[in-house]
Amino acid sequence: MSRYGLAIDLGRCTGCFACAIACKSENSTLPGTFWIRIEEKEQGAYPHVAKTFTPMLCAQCGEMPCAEACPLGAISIAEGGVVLIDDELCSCGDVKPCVAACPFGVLAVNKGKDAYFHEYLTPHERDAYESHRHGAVEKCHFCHPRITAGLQPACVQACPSKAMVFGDLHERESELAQLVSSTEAKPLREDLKVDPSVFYVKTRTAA
Amino acid sequence: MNDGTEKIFSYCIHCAALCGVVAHVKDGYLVKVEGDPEASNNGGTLCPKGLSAKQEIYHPERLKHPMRRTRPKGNADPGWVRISWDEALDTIAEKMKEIKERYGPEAFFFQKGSTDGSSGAEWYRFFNRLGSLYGSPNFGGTGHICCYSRSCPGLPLHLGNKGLHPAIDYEKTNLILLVGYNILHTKPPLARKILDAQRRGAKLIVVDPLLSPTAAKADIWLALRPGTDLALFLALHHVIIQERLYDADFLTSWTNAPFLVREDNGQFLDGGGAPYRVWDSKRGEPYPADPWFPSDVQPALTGSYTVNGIRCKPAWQLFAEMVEPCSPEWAQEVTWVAAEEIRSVARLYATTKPASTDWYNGLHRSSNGYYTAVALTLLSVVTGNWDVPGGLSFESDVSFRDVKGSEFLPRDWVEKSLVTAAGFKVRAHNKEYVGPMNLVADAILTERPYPIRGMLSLASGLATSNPNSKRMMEALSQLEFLAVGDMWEIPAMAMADIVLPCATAWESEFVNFNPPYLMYRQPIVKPQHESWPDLKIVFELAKRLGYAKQFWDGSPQKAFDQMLEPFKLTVAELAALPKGVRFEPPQPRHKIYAAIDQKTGKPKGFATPTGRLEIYSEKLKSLGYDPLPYWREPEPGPVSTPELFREFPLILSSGFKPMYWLHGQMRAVPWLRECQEEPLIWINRRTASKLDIHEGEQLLVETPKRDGTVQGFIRLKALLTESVPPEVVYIPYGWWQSCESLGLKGHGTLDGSANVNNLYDDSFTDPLSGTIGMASYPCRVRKE
Repeated sequence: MSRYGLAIDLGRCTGCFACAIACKSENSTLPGTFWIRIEEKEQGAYPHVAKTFTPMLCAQCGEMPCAEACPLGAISIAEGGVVLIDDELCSCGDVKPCVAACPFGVLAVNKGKDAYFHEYLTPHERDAYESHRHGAVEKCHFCHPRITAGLQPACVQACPSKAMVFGDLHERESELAQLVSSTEAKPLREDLKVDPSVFYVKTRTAA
Repeated sequence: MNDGTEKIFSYCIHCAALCGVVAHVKDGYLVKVEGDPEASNNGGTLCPKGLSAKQEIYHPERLKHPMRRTRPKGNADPGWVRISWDEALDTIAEKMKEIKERYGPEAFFFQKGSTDGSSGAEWYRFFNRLGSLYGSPNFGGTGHICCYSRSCPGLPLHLGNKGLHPAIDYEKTNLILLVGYNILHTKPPLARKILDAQRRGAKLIVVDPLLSPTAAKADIWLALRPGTDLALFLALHHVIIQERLYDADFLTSWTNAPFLVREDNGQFLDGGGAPYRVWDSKRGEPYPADPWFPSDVQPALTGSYTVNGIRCKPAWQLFAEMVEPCSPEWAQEVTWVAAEEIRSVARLYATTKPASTDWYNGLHRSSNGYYTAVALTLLSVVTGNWDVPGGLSFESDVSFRDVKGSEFLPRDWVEKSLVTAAGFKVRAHNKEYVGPMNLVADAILTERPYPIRGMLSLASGLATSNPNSKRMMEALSQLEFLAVGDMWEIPAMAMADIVLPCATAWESEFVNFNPPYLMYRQPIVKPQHESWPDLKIVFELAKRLGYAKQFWDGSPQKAFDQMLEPFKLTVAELAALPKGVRFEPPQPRHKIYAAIDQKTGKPKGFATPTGRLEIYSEKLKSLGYDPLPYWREPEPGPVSTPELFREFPLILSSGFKPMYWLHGQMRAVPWLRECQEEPLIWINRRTASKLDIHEGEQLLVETPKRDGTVQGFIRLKALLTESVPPEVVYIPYGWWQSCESLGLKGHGTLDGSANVNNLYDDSFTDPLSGTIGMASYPCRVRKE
């Protein structure tokens, strides 16, 4: 059985936001909702200062702390280890236990406007935006429709730095599996032991 | 998946990279744009700008129809009324004829903005052609704030590169020296190539005062005082010479380093029937050079000689004497970069082969930019990294037939141009007609050397992209006639008589080489509203001015056919195939200079005045400039204008862009604006603490004019960071536009806006190129 996973090379991520916009374009998420975002961090004092960019997205944890917290059973694991939220079941009020339970802070509540340009929606945009309910919790699902059609997630394809490698963690020969096993690939917060599918690598050290 | 979605292959022209894309179109609407995995530039990747095509095209705030002003200029509300394209173009043509008749063709200015965004990199040829047919030598662009030092003025004199841009082979280079160039963001398809080079061991050295995303990836980041790059390069030369790390064979064979320079007049010593002479140390006498000499001559690179009573020295000796005082210790004082670091970078650079160099606008927005570029490129020359695979090499020209129509220009156009009148002799020598825009403002306001009365501006951030926005706006208000075309209502339109709605590049057509395809780029959707592609505007205007014949009877398709002649292809043949025709450009050929010219039996050499690469420029000397890139402080600056820094103690620097902006464009696109909602001033944490400034607080930034009175003020929120030195604040340029979709209001243009160009007095200029001193401008910052 396959398990989809993602390795992000922080040595290559330049914080350009192509992943975030590719995600917007592919998934038509609502204003203010990001399924992937960039955390920028400075360390040191000028001129001995380093800067790192960390793309943050759902790690598709095998242990699913979000699902455990969900009182409505709306979160489940689909084929390939992708964690999905059932839009029809997800109906908590203002308090969202799953959002609080996520150790990575990557679950997003649709709380902005329900479209970018109300008066200029094309027919496809109208359909796309209507699929995102206001107040619902959403998150990255590795572009589930794309990966089941054999494509790469939109962020992975777009990344100008080729900082992201997507594939099957169980397929030993895959570039992903090699990268994850041969380098110091680590998930965020390894200590939590939530069995994430997203790993972070740093292939080289910046100055 | 057959849901009626059509895939249209195209390319993105939001920057010079030309990434191949696939546009998914359904029922006539664009659904999304993705990178084309088969395109060789981008291999399926795509940057935020290209990915956002949909939000550009269907943006509700685009200009929708041509408009005419009904209230006098200066009125807060121009009283725009909708007019037809016929009325708009008839009016423009009529005014253009009138101005030409009354004041001469040079009184009308043709202004084009960035080559990117609206696909100006493509249609500018025809805009040039229009200006040439009209007879005006005054054609403006953005070189003065973009690429003068990279490809435009000075380098032809020293390197003979004819305006081509550097193109580095990142698969072969073992060292990448980048200066003032956030290349990982501003040339997105190169990001993975550079990171791949680093992965296989190539060293990345970045020279930048700011920790840009590119500097953040560097193996060595040389964090220097803004505007002092020249001092750094001179110190690198110093170490290279002192430690004999230069390539003496290359200098002797292919540069003018051995040419004897007369001590009395700084000219090359001629004689023996040749324009130059070298000192043959084997024979102990001078030997003529035309510019070549036989291989058994052993020219001296150093020393001092007397020939017929004339004292002279080899050019290299003079170069060495120039850099002699520029020790790493000296440079540490000037640049703030540690002497030991300079020394080790010099050794690394000179001993790693091949080593490449590239630079962009961070290097030259300074009063010393010309010589800075000369000193930098000479690093490649003296270390033998010039024109070798993986060294500093230049793009090969994919030769579409030239349609710019320069042949239509009046014979005396060079003498008549504002560039020549302003005394930019190198640029006049190079026959450049892209003038720094402050020359235009001067001519409008002072009527010297002659008045400029009218202007047609397309795709230009005329008022916000040029330093001294106030003066530019004032100048625009004085024009008898101004027509401005753009996708958005831009600040300069406040002074326009006619406003034209332009189509996005996605809605327009052209032919181009988008590797590996020669492609006809069809509009992926029809132009929205009543917008027209700039190309169509130019063609239709040409017809009204009586140039139909020279404009292929108004048919862009016929013009494309002419452009395609060298490929023996027609636009119909390209359009018949979804991606056009596969085209293998000739492999970049290196060392063409060494090939023997059949006619003369001598090497072809370089397109420089001497025919060799020029360490020492006699031409510059004869034009009244220093022949060598001596150190000069940037003006203004804490050292050159200390009086201005007494009251304005911080150094203001501007420049680098993140990938999601294109200069002053794109702020209205909500996906992109969500990457960064507001303009921010970067201020060092230690400086902020002294000034009691906290994260996110609104700051007032003021700057002086040359005379110490206030030039202007702007307002921005504080970003506390260690990515700038304590002495420097960084303000990004290009902020004026609203993003109504996110509830973000426009920022304005002049005092109280967020427009950094409102802060510059434009009278601090590089005497050679005319670029404006913006790298180390004095400023003061306070909480309101």
